[in-house]
Amino acid sequence: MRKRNLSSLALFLAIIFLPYWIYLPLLLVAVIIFPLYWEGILFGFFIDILYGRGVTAFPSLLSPIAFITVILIIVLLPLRERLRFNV
Amino acid sequence: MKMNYLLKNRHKKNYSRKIIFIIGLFILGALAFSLFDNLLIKIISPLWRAENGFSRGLGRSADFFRSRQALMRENGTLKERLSSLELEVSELSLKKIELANLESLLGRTVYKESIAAGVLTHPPQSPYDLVVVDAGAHDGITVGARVTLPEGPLLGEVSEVFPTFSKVKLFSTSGEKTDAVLERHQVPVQLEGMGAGNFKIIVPRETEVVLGDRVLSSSLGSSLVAVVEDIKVTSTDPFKEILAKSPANIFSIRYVSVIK
Repeated sequence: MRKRNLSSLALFLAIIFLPYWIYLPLLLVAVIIFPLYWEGILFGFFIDILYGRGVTAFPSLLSPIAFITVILIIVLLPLRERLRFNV
Repeated sequence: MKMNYLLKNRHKKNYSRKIIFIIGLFILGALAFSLFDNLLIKIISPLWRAENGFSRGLGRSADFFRSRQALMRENGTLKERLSSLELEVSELSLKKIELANLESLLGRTVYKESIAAGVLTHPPQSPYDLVVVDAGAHDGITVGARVTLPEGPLLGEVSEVFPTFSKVKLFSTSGEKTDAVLERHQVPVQLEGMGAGNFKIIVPRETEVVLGDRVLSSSLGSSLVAVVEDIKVTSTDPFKEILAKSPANIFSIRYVSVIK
């Protein structure tokens, strides 16, 4: 749990200060490593708010990073049972 | 003979609750973030300002201790300044021609009132070729206002306005289409953004284009938008592909002018 929180904090700071080619792969790694990484969806929205065209209530399905994160988490749910991580 | 079968220990897991939670969070997140987007950027913008100030300050103090490095950096800055001045000169020569053209158009005047704005974030921090500037509705900025470099070249348009800051969508945003004119023979073209300050133009094979040709905006007070960097022609294709690049280095812009 501590690792998860620290990683989330690092990811949050990376989104604010670092280039996208650092924080987007970090987000992907976090989604793969941590079980049900729901924080990733919030980070997706956060990226779209700060650097994208904003998130408006209904067409936010087109908010790309949050949407891709949701898909990834759902796809990884059954896959995770067959993988083992030491986290 | 009696047979014993092992029980299957892998029973089917039900993920529906987790999926509902994820989708619910997504919908709630969309609603919450759409309500608080202004507040979020307002909270984060002092951090960006501090980061900009810190990185510049750090650069200056490091130069003091590393004289060779300092000279190299100064050289870099002077080169940057030189290219900026070159841009300004080319823009001025363009203005001269433009003025002559305008004189022939009776009753039309081009009046540009602009406001200077500091850049808070730029690519590669943003994955979408978007720039956040520190001037907003309070400064009279509206959606659709054109954004240029202080030297003149056109960068993009304001896509969102908040009270104290705005988001600028660069013309080089991937998939973004902009009407423009190839300066050489005044050929109207469509610039297609490819990200990171790059553009693609498709023109008929017969159109004369040379490396270094300038691409101007199609509006009355036309400004420099891109410079031709590469031309791709295949023997079987009736069209040729032109790759152009924004004259501005979008990865290091500090200030822009927003035309009201």
